[in-house]
Order: sequence, then structure tokens, then C-alpha cells
Amino acid sequence: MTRHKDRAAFTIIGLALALGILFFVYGIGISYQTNVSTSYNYVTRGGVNLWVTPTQGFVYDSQSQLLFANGTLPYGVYTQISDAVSNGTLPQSTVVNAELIAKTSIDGQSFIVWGTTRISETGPPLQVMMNQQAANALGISVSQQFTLAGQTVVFAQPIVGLQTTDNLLMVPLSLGYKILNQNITPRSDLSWILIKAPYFKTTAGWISSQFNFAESTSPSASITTNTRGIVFILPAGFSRYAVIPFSSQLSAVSLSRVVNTTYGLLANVSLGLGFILVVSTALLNMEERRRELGMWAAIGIAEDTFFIFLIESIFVYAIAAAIGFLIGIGFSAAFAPWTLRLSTLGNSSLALLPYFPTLVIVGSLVPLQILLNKKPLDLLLSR
Amino acid sequence: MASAVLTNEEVGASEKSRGVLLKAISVGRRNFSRGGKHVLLPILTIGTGTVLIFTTQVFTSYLRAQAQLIAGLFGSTGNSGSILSSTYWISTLVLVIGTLESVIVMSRNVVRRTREIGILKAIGVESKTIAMIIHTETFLYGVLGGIVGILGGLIVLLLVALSQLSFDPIFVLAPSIPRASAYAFILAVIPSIAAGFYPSYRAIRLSVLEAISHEA
Repeated sequence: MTRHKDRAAFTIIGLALALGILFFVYGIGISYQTNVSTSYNYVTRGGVNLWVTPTQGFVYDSQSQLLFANGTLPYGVYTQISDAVSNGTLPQSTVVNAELIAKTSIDGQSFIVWGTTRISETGPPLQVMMNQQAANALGISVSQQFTLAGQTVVFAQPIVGLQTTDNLLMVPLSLGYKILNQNITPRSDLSWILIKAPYFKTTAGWISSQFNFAESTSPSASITTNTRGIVFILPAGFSRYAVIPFSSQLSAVSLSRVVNTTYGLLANVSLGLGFILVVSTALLNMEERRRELGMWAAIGIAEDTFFIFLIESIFVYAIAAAIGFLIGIGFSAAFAPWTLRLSTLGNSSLALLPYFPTLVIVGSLVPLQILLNKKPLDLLLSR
Repeated sequence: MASAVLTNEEVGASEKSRGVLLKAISVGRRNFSRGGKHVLLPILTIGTGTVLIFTTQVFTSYLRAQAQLIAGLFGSTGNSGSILSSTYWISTLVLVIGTLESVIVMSRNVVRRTREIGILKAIGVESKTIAMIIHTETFLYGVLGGIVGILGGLIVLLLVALSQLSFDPIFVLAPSIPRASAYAFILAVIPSIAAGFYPSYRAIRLSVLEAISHEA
């Protein structure tokens, strides 16, 4: 490499640009993926392993960066599952929670109201949670009491771990109905039911047969005309075909929404060109050292040159990756500053990591293969 | 008076320098065709970059929709305008990566022809002329790469039409083709001219004695 510093420098610049572009595109994809995952992890927190949704499943609302149910579930489903747990049809240790999440306006300001049975209905005052934006909008601080939909409530604790920029108010389910009834949703509807079941396979089977729901281990469920809802089975290993956890599949789907576009194509083409630079530089170096390599081949150690190529390309890739990382950050800062987060940077580095061994090994094997295909005598006699 | 009218010698000199320039260009062109299979790679890499620029220019409306979709994933924080402009930057950078290949190939040619350049210098050929020879070669890489790229872009357009079983996309996009072609071609040629600077700088810097005694 040091023999032709200039050529190595051009190769590194080219590859670094390519990796920078790839880093940028992956950064956008992974930022979106992180947002979806954050919301998903929040919904299924506390070891939930069955997520019962309406037939249309769930959607990610990019405006609020939260997951919403795509449709509604009858409230009766929740009461019947709860009854089955209390009368022993389902195991006693099954935890069932119903949630309703909808957008509404309170005092002229838009709010996302998240009614959940996770918050107990003991009171008054009823306990509510909210994020910083909502607290600012209502002018409330922690442990302060106020009136909401005619009830005395207390701001018990702030919501942390959600990215949303909207006003988010988490309340007991009954209070959620009270708030929303004045505005939009009829009382009997739910967004989804979250179940933490000790025997989730049996429980999923029971629910699907009882209510005519589809079972699915992936975010894309196959439904028929008489399907009334979906039971998403979240842990991996439910059946021998579902070895990838639901959350990973959701992540892959959300990443592919960006990477499978023209941007991903552009990034991969640029990486392909960067790769051509590396291989062609290796080949040119080889050509200039034909006689030397011919001697190596003549004494039968041409295979050892593999390590020369390998170390050379490891150097090139490592330096290019470091510069490419900086170029990628620069690109993100210039064109998509909203994706620039420390976690995104770490995750996109991780996503690009598998490229390196592949590039390094193939990049060294191609010149070696060409070298080994030549007769030593030809190499020695060539000028 | 000497200042007002060019002397015969001066006229001769200017004609001579123009002749030298043309000679340099023709030598560069010959060197280019002498390059054999090595000229293919830079032309193809520049061509790939040009295809991307051509297609991003032609499919602007499609890209705009896609930029809106991607920016829409981030709600109010997303900005489709900057995502769209990043596309143009990315396709231009891909072209730059392609052009680097021609820099690498040219600088290899300079190393290979060290002796030749030394002899040219020894018989009194000016550095400017030698630089011109090299610039002609990289310029030709750019021109051919640009042509290949535009043809490739047209093939992409044809494939899109085929994939939709209709020639409508071609008719709809046809008005933007001349502009996109011109833009892609210019963008292919300019970096190629710039690509000649480094190799020609190296060639000019060579010392005659060392160059002649250089073993290829």
C-alpha cells in the first residue's frame, strides 16, 4: 500500500465516500427503525407475549411517533378473556390489560389519550401519567392535583422512554373513556389487549378459536373474511418456522421501508463502485509487481500473497470506514439532522459491520485468483 | 514597428504552438486507444455514475414522492426537500467515485510510461504538451463514460417502460430527457478534466534522468 501512497489515497477516498453514503442511508432507515421499536417496546413492556389487535393490526403514526391500532376491538373480548382467567379456563397467573389510544383535544389543545388498565382505578384522586409536553400544555407539575373530565386526578409520574413530540396523557381506562366519549370514540371500543400468559401458545389458541381471531408470529398476518382480530405472538420459537422474534421482524420491516427505496439502491451502487476501486487498485499493483509475483509463483509460494492482499485491503477498508463514518455524520447533519442521534450512529455502524469481512475477503480473493491463473513463466517474462 | 505587427517569427511560433497542441491531443487519443482493456473500467465506472445522475434527473417526480414518503416516516420533524437534495448529492458523489477510477488508471499509466515521458522531455517537449496528452486521455474517459451513461440511462427508461408494459413513461418523461442528458454529460466530463490534473502534475514533476533510467 505504501508503495503507491497516492493510489491508495484515491482508493480510500472513493471507498470512504461510498461508505459515507451507505452510512447516511442506513442512518435514516435505522432512525425510523429505532422510533418504531421504541414505541413497540413501550407498548409491550413488562413481558407481554400476546398482543391482540383489530383485524387491520396496528399502524405506526409518524406524526406522533407512536403505534396506534388500525381499527377497534369490542370491549367484550377483554371482559371474556378476564372472565376466563378468573374462572380458571386460562391459567390464574395470566395478566390481561386492555388499552385504548386515540387522539383528541382537551381545552382546545390536541392530546393523545392513552387509557390503560395498567394504571389502577383506585382513587380519588385517580392517577395519571403524562410526558413533559403534556405537563407543560396543562401547566401541571408532578404530584399536583387537577380536574380532568370532571374527575379529580393527580399527576403521579412522568412518562419516560417514549420519543413522541405530541402531548401524551396516560390515564386509567375508565377515565380514558370519559375523556374520549365527549369527543370521538363510542364506549365499547378498545385499541388492543396485552396479555402476559404463562402458556402463551395455549392462550393464543384459545383466544383465536373463541373469537375467530387469526394467530400470527410476524407483523404481517394473513387474515380471511371472517377473521375478527389478530393475536400477535411475540416471543420467538412459537413454531419451528418462527425462529425470529416479532420485534426483530418489525425492525426489519421498518428498516426496509427506507433501505429498499432508490436511496438504498444508490448507496449499494456507490459501494459497488468503491469496491471496484479497491480491486482494480490491487490488480494494478499486482501488474506492476508481475516479475516479483512471478518469482513467488515460481518457488511455489504465490498463495501466501493472499495475506499480503488481505492485510492491504484490511488497511484500506479500516481507514475508509473511519473516514466514511465521518462523511456519513456530515451527510446526516446536512440533509437529515433529525436522524442524528448517538443510538442511531451506533446502530448503523453495527448494521454496516457485516459488510467488512465480506468486502475484505472477496477483495483479496479476486486478485489472488487472477494471479494464480497465470503461469509463473508468463509473469517472469512479462515486461 | 514590432509592437503593432506580428513578426514572421511570432506568427510562426503561435502556429507552431497550435500545431503542438493538436499533436498532443492526437497523441493522447492514440495513447487512449493503446490502453486496451484498461480503458474499459474507468469508462464503465464513470458511466455508472452518469446513469444514476441521468435517471435521478429524469425521474424527479418519482424521487420527490419517495422523498416525501421517507421524510413522512418522521412526521413533522422530517424534511422531504433536504432528502430529495441528498439524492442529487449522492448520485453526484457516485460519479465522483467513478471518476476516481480514471485518476487511478491514469496515474498507473504515468508510472508505466515513465520512460516514454522522460524521453519526450529529453528531446525538448514542453511540460504543457505532456500535460495536454494526459488531459486528453482523461477527457476521453469522461466523454465516453458520459455517452455510455446516457445510453445506459435510456436503457433504464426502456426497462421501466417494459416493466409497466406501456410506453407511457417514456412519453411522459421524454421532455426532460434532453436536459437530463446534457446535465449528466457535463457532470461526467467536468470531473474527468479535473481527474487529469494529478497524473499530469506527477508527469511534469518527473526528472528526465530518473525517468529515462526507470525500469518498467
